[in-house]
Amino acid sequence: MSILQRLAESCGIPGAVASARGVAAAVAVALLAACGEPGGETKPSAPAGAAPAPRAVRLQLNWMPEPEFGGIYAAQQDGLFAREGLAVEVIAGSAGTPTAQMTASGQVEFGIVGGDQVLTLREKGGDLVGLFAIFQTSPMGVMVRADAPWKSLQELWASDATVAMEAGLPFVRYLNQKHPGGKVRLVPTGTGLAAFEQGAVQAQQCFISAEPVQMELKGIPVRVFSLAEGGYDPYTVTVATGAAFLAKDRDACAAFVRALREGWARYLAEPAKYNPAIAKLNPGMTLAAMDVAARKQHDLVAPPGTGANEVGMMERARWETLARQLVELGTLKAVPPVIDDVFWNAP
Amino acid sequence: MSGARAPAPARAPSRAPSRARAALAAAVPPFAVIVASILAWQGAVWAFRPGEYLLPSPVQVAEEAWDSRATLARAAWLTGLSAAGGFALAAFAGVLAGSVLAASRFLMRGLYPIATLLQMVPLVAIAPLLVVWCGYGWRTSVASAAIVSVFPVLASTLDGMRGTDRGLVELFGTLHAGRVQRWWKLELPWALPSIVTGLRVAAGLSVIGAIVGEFVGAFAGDASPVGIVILSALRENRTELVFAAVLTAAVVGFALFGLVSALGWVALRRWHASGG
Amino acid sequence: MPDAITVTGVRRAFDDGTVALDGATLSVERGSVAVLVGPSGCGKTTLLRILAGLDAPDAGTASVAPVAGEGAARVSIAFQEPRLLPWRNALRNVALPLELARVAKADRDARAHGMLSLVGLADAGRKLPGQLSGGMRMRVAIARALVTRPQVLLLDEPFGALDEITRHQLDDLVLRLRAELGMTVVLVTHAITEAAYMGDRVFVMAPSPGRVVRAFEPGFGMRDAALRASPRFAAVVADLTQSLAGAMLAAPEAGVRA
Repeated sequence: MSILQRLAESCGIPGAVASARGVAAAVAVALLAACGEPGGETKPSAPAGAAPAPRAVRLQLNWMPEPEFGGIYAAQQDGLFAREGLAVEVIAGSAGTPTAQMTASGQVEFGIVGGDQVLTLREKGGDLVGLFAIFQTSPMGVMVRADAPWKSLQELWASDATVAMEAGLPFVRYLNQKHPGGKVRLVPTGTGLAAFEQGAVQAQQCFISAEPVQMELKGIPVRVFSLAEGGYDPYTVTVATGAAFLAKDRDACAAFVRALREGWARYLAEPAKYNPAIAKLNPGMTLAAMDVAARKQHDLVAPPGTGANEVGMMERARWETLARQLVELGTLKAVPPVIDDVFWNAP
Repeated sequence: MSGARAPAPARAPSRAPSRARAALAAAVPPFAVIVASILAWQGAVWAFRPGEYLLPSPVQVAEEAWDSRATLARAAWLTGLSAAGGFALAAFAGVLAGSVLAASRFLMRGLYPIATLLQMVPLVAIAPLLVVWCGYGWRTSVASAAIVSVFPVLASTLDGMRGTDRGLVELFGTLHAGRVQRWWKLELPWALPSIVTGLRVAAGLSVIGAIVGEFVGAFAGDASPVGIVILSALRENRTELVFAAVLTAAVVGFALFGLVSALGWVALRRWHASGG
Repeated sequence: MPDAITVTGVRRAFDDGTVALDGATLSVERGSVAVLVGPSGCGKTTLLRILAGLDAPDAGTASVAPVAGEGAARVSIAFQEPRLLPWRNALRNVALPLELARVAKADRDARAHGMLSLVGLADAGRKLPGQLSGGMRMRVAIARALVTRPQVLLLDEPFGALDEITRHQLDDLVLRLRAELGMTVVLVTHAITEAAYMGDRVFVMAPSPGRVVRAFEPGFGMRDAALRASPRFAAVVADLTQSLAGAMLAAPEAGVRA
């Protein structure tokens, strides 16, 4: 697997790399843990009385720097983390980065994970806790070309179209369960958007605010079916931490979340101020695309009526619904007995 | 039975058991290593308790493999077919290309460096292109398997043929053999031990190639190949299924390797081992 | 009898400047055994290779005359080593020249088997070269050279690596086959007793440059073990030895290339 990883890293096509790197990274994480690296342990905080040195923590992203992480970069750019006494290292990722495992095992203090992953990993002994849900409405969607014959996910699923989707993701199971007898043929997303552009795949999983924007800027008009509207609406992009870290360093977690809230408030208000720095980190997405994406995602992050301090807040009922859905899908064995352990809204 | 063959049956009974014993003796060290590794793995899981989500124990992997045996068997079959198809293509193309290069100093000087360069191209990088060229489905996995396994065959064919005994080439010259006759009746059989070595390497590689192809281009569904099972298990955080699928891939690779080795042994045992 | 082989003033120099042959001249009567004997570097193997068509003279001519009514002479060569294909059994090795000439399988197998019988290996047809002794391998090589029924058989020190008893047996075999198949034989050797025993005509060659310094006819009719022990055989060997010693003296720096 390390060979695959090396191969993957030696080439520059992120979509292609993701799968191989995911396998390699997962195994690598497993091996590291097996070698007895003390998971969950972090350096003790500065002794009381001494000048408070900034607390170094890492945040592992599960994708390349894009507007979906805008508030994080805004907090970084405006020194909001520093103001809270934190020195945050934001680490870019890709589709295959095992952020959930890395966070649960303490290799990083914070990680971007899917809400479904928080629940499934907990069932396997990886105690993740959700701290901040970037999207109140899941940005997950399925895009087709504007002139495609399908008017709904149901119609699409009944067709024999080739659909680029990561098999194993819960929403794929959800769609299969909701539209039984589907004839669509699922293929991996490893080719990036090339296959969709070429027409080799007729439908593609996406973030409503990301890939469709890139397609439209390339002159390919698309339509998007929202999964949230279709009934599956998890906290798709969640900042999580390990339960052990939260128990030991509740203050640091609260400080981190406060900075995130402020960062997101600023990004939502003025994304153009922060996008150039993000674009510099991600040559795969143009600044123009980022500005459009930021506009499109605004209401998903902060639906109309959201108070300034309510960005990122999670609801117990939403977690419970997700857990029930995952149990129905067979992804989860049982709804967690104490839902409140799954997430923590910092005061 | 003629006089010359009479000793054979007399020798056979005494040789067969010793050969079996030798095979058994050869199997003991790898078997011991495997058992020891599994025990160490289980021991590490007991000692460090890394959590099932990071490192499942061999027992958990075995349980998962048993529970998912139908899925894994189908996956092994599909991936095995792609790998075998790619291997067959690579064997054919590699021997042919190696022969052509061996036949012409000019072509060899011109093309061999390029062939070497092609081998350096990371498969993962061109896999998405394969999807574009070959479309989704088995063609991409077969092409991917063929691409990774063609070079060892080509190189071993070239090496083997270039090492053809000069005296025998001269003999064929005095017998007025044609170029094709010299290739088919002299150079190809002469290079066979070397080609078999290359084929064995290629057999193992072809499974890796097939899986890389599946990562980008295989259909997921009721019957998914190993690459898709791995991807999907990763997304579901089913680490034990990832391990079981990786082991399945190893078994497929080992089976192909064993098959090629056995065929090679049958083809070569009569003269190669006898030191002719 | 007319001459089967005519060599006139042949010169052959290699790229490194060695003059392997210069002004080599000889002729071989059809149906006779000619022996080229001489020290290393006298060009005897080069001459044989020219006759086999494996090399060409820089000057002079070397020709093998076809028998009346045939286009080209059929020439076979057996090398110092057996040069058998290790993956083919003895029969299929012998059949190789016929196979390359696209003779039908049944026919070539029958002929190869006949030739194996003639060299005394009727039962070894299915054995691989690796399972045969050195002498047996050489017999297979001779059978392969003879399977096309050549008019001229060229032998390049074929038995040099064998023990003496085996060599004597094979020498007798060659003489017998010559008689049975009615062909011309040219034998290259550096062994004086072999030259004396085998040759209807012996050409003593000298090096630097390689050339024929003496043509000599031992005049033995029937060859057998008794001949080897006879005083007249000893006399011929002594005579040849002297000629060769003279040839060696002529070239103190000899021995670069055979």
